[in-house]
Amino acid sequence: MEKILSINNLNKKYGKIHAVNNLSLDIFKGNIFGILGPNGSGKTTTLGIILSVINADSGKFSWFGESNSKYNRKRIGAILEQPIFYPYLSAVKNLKIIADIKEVDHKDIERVLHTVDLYHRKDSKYRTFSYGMKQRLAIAAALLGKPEVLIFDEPTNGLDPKGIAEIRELIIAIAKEGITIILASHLLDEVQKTCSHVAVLKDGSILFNGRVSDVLNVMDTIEVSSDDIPLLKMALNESTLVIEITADHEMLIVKLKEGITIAELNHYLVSKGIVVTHLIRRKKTLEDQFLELLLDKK
Amino acid sequence: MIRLLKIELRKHLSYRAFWLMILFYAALLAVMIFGIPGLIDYIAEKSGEPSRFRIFKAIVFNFPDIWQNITFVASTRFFIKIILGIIVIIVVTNEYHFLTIRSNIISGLDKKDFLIAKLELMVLLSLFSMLVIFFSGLYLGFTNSISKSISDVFGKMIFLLGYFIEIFAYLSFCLLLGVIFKKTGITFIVHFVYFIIEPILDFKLNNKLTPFLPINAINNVITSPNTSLIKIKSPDFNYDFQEALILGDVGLCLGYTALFILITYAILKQRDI
Repeated sequence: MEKILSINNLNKKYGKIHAVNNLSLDIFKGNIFGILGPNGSGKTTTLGIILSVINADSGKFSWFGESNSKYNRKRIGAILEQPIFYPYLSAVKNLKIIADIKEVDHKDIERVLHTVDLYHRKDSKYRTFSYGMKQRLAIAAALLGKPEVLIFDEPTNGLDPKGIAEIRELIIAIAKEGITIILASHLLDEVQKTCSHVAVLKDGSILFNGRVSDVLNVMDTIEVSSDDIPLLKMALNESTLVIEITADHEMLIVKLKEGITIAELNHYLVSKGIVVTHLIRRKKTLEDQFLELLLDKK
Repeated sequence: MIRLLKIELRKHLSYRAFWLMILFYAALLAVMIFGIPGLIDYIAEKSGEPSRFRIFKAIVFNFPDIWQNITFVASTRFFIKIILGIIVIIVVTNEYHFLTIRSNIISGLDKKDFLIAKLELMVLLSLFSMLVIFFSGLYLGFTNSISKSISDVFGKMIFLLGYFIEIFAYLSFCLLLGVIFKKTGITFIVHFVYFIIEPILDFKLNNKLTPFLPINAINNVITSPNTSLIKIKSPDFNYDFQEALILGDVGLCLGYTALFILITYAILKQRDI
């Protein structure tokens, strides 16, 4: 798969605070990549570095397999923190400036304004916009010139529930066109609903990194033990309730099919004449750490 | 180059404050250009000795000395060129205030492009100012000058170039302050405080050092007016009235300009936005 972004051992300190701590990350074409972490975990600093507005203390990154340059940034659409425009200029005039910087034809402005449903306000001054409209204009700006990568930093921050739903739908619609998306958020829910991959950040380091389905939707596992482990294993192997069995010291770790309860498993084992000495649900460890993370922010 | 200037102008051409400042500047210049000769006439009438003032007018506005005289007045440090400086300070600090410098970089300018675009705007402002002075000079000269020969009209026109260099140097100074302090109000205060501090330093320091003070250096390209009368009378004044642009002074002014721009670039490059 084509590597879109590669980050190697990135570091950034603000005084004593290690905002980005030896961070390495690869993002591939077509990923909807979530960067999840509480406020202050280094998400925005990392995005600032890869967008060249913040200088890293050490480490490297490369876009599209090339060394960093302004030409790479013209292939990226990004919103960092909050929408940024000249308040005294109209929506169209603001977008013309960005189109000129990106060397994109002005014809594209009409398309992106329609996409975010702001065409009817195209000649209004930016400062007259509501926050939701400003956010949408920022997305329009990011979409100019059909970039290969889109970066959203807390895209639903400060929006009402309707606005949040709209923005998420928009992101998912954009993703269907095959554009690589990087989305930073402190909301587990947001990442879970929109992303294919996720890196979890805390104190500037990556805690986990992988597919959302692997990291966030870990199924419960069951610890089972009996006096006769081989017999137990045989019975479980024959069962249709179980997907996976792994041996772990004096017990077996079992993954159940979706919708199967512990009671059903126990019932089955009893019907096979096996008496369990130990039967316990093992918690989703990753989610545990996750909750811890999210609790930290509160 | 043209692309960067176009982008830069898009930012300002619909900005009311920008136009107000430009109009204010142009209006002030116009008042002076058309007002001063009128004022001299008025004083002449009142004084009862109108012929003396008419001679004064003819001498001051005589080709080719007029170019030196009006560029000297227009480039005086506490004078209207400050309006151009204020424009540059507002334009630069706005980019920090609105954070638009960040969106410019993210969209695909690099910091060098950002700087070049600002320098191009400054060249444009300096050219605009120089052209206003040029047309004013033609008007005042042709209405007042005794001599209207081609060689006299074009003689000393090099002072317009000196004027351009002075204005651009001063705007580079304002650009540097804007980039250092980022906030419009603070930058204004620092600018005006420095304009007060430097004359004090000028007073306290050794005369050999004072020409090297930055504001002195960027004002020393055109140091004095000159007229045919002064040339005759100069022994009485005990002062060296400038006859032409002096290469060393121009060099020092350009050196400071380069220094201001280099420091601006170094700060832009090194600082997070």
